[in-house]
Amino acid sequence: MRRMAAVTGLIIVLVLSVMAQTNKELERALTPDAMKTFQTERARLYQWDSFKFLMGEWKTKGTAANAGFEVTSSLDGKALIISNTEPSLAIAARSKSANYKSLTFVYVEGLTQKATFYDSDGRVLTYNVQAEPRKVALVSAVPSHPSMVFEETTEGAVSIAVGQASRTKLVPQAKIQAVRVSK
Amino acid sequence: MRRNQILSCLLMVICVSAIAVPTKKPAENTTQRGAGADRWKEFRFLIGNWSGDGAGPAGQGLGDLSVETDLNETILKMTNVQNFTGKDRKTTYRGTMIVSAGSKALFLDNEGHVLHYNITFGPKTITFLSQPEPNSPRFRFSYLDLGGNQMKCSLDIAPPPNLDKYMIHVSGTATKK
Repeated sequence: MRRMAAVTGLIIVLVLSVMAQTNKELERALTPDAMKTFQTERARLYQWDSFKFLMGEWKTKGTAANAGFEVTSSLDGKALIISNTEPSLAIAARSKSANYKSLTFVYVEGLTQKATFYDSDGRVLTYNVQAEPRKVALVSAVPSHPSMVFEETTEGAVSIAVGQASRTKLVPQAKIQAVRVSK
Repeated sequence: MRRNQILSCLLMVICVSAIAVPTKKPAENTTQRGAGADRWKEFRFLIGNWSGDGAGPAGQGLGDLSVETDLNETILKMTNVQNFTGKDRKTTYRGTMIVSAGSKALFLDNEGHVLHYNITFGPKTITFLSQPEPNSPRFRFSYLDLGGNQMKCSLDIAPPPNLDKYMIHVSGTATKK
């Protein structure tokens, strides 16, 4: 009886502390210093440093002739657009038709780089961006959905792996190479 | 004893709910509207290139709106460019709305806004209503088909904490080019 009361009390304390923490965070978020830090961090994310190796037009060594993708800056640098015409990147989609296309919008939401992917099969997928030097991963928020990793292999060449992301790595289901056409 | 166990379980559920509430569900959507039907039927009056003027607290502006389908008609892309002359400076506002099946839309602009919209349809009207976010205003875009290649567009903003009390931010009439 006493033990249960203690457990109940502990849970109430936990709930109250979570609520207090949330309120504290909100208050902190509104201070001028916190706002300045927030804006500085956002300005840094809008530099798109981790995507620089990927900017420009790329031709894929895939099955379709003239297939490839292009990464461009949009909305005065507030977003990046990856437009793709390579059917091999449609691994998890219903079709691999020659006129397969996809568009991925990369943006900053809060203090996180995110991406939303649309394709001609009607798929809409949301990604979190994870970056390492010369490597960008678009990791699906839903583990069963495909994730993508773009990695610079040599100057002017990248590999793109598509597969399912586990906690630590991507299990690739398809990997294709691309070479730069123009910056 | 049993009563206390039930109470503890109930508190646990409340606790888990309290933690889970702020977590946003990812906007995953793989549903498609019927392939045979016109999936953009409600948007047909909107598809095309528009020019118009608008006025509001943001200033007086002239702008263009381009609405087109893309990715073999699976998405609708709305691109808006608006030049504003305010009291002391001129600004160009750019925004892109991507509408996917399931009446959902993602909006991005050159001010760094990222908004997720739900779309509702009324008689000759399409309304985009942003999902409520803590400590953020709520936005509402409305497009009303006036006929004769004209439409009324307005952007309303509901500042917090009253996220259902909208004020007109910009409103104007657009003509199809």
